[in-house]
Amino acid sequence: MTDPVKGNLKILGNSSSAGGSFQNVGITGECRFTGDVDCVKFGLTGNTDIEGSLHAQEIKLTGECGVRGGIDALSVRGRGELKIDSRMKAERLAFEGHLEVKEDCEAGEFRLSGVVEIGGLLSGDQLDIGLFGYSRAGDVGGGTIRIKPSKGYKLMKMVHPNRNVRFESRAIEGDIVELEHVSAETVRGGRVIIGPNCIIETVEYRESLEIHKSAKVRSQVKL
Amino acid sequence: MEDELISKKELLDLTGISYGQLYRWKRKQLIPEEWFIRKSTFTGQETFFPKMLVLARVHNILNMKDDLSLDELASRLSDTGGFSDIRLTEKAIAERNIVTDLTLSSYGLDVQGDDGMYSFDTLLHLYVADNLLANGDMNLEEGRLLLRTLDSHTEELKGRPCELYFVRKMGVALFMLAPSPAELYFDEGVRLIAKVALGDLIEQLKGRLS
Repeated sequence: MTDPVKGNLKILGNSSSAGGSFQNVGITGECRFTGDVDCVKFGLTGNTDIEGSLHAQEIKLTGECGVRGGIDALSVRGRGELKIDSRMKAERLAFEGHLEVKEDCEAGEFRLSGVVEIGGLLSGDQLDIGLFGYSRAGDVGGGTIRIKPSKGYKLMKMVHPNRNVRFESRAIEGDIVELEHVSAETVRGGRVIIGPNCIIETVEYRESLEIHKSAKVRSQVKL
Repeated sequence: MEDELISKKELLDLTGISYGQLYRWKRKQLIPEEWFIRKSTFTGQETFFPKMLVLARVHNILNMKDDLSLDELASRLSDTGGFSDIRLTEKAIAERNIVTDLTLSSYGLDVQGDDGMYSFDTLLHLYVADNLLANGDMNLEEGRLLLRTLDSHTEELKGRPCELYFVRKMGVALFMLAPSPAELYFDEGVRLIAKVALGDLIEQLKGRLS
């Protein structure tokens, strides 16, 4: 990491780069990378397209970022829009805005408020999703899973009373599962709380189950 | 000896681990992604695992995780990595009771390296032979054929899940190595004596070595 050959990359304005291996990458403005980017810190304010993959210890985004390959990072923070055509792996993710991952998204700690679209499996030790709009994931799995409308949604609800939020998924499996405004085929877990406005086909639980009166659960099974 | 599958739910029940642990281990690549097999059942999609492999792996992880961090574990478990450069003497093998003395004395001289040491691959081959001998499926002479077969295809099958088929027709023994999942169909005269998933044995062998 302290390799002296690796330099910093700083871009102000509009530019493009072939990518490569760097110490710190800072972009203010717009930049297009035509290859893989490997760095310690990746900071972005503005707009970026990476045609390869992004490998970094720390990623901080404000704005729009598209990645054709995958992301492998220790921490991902920021707000805006992040679109990944492949898969993402991060120890910590804290993001506000729109996150789209075509394949699997694996994280240690996953905190997101906004809209999330995951094509494959969304997994993590801790998943905290504040919904704002329509979100979905193929499957969700992990330790603690909380999916609820975000605070922003409650404000918006006062202005636009007939806008709704929803999270859709095939199966949601976790040790502690708390859901609101979620549609799923199967929910499996240790302690399960099905909150308001959920539509669930089957709930399988080990320890406890609470179901809000406005939630629809077709069948429930105690294991 | 069909390769049995186990559903995620059964796995958690049998081993007592939690969803959180399972997904964490997957993320740390302690459990390879190929083992997550998606299948549709009448209740929808379910995830299944190769039973022998995953149970052995979970057992190994649970045993080792007190002494090692997950990242250290990952490097130790990832395929044969970490073990591939292991070399044991005949004495060490006998001490750890990895293969029986009979196997060692019958084949040891043929397969050991120039310096009289045994590599992980050689050890694995001996272990396979030892298992088949112990079950009474195979005789000593056929064992030699087996070791030759395994030895000449080690490189091609490295890092791939692979199954060994041991069949007999009219008393003639045949060994086949097939990257799994493969389905083989034989003519009527053929008797399938044993089908061995090498991955299972690698797992067991690692357990004995660590």
